[in-house]
Amino acid sequence: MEVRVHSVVPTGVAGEAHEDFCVRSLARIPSALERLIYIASTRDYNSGVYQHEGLAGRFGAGAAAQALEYAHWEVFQTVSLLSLRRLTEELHRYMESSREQPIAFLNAWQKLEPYRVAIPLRVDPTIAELFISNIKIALAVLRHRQSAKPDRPQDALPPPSLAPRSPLPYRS
Amino acid sequence: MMAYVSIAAALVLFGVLGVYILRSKYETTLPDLRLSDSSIAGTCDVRFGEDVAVAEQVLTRVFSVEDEEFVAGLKSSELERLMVQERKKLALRWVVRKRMEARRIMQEHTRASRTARDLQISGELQLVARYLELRVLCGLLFILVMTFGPAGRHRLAAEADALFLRIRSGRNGAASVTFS
Repeated sequence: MEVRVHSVVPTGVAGEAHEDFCVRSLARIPSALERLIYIASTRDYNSGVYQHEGLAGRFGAGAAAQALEYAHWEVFQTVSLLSLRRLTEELHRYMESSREQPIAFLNAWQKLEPYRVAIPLRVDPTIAELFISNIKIALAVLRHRQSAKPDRPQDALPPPSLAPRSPLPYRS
Repeated sequence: MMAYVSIAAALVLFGVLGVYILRSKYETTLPDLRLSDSSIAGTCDVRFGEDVAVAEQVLTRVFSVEDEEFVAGLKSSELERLMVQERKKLALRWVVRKRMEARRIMQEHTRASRTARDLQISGELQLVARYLELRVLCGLLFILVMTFGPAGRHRLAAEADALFLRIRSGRNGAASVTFS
């Protein structure tokens, strides 16, 4: 049987960079979905190249990019293969940690579909479609649950915070 | 009696036409396959998720009943409709993709066969038989998913996937050994 994915598993310095990234950065992030969003945020939108100053300083830019690409694929696979129940829980946790109003969060995620940027560049199309489909359904489930909750009075909302809203750690 | 036979034949033909149109519709929404032949092929030699173990897990998830049961438990007809629609779309695209990939493999094999010096008839017949079997399985799976949805069709899909892998590995093996 043909197993092609092993040809991109990082080895040597890139392998060390990957291990370092998993231990130092990813282990601090509690959920798979948050880990995925964090890794996707290290990828340049224009070039598709992964950048991480801390990792590049220790292992070199090339090894760091290779390590991040592989880590991205690993976490993307984990999230895509989650059951819908589990994915909905993870998305709910992420929504709460974002400190946005749930309705605003759901509106943005359903209309702008920012989760599409979390898909790795080189990925099997079926797994990418499964990811998109599952996120769409999970968002609809969260909206359904939200609409079932009793309305809260507007004046009970907390004032907007000036603190950074991302629950994700800064890049070292 | 003749009238009933005519009506039945017309219905079958209508059904076949409907399946053909729908399948064509799904084929036109799969740009990744057409691109893989030319522009992307040079830069994307390896795509994550193409290994067998992951493909099996993806298949299990697409055709699983677990997710449908979760949504059914939420007692929302709107959510159930969305779930069926999404999973159906996903499963149909998977079926069409497999069929198209198999067709591409066979086309490449036919091209290579024209210059082959030592063609083995039994091997060639076996490959053609597997390809035809896959076509039939994909057609059946397409109709079943279209009519009843993908939940519970995992076994048939796994069978089609295994057959596809046999075609691909058989063709690759033949190409490297037999052809010059």
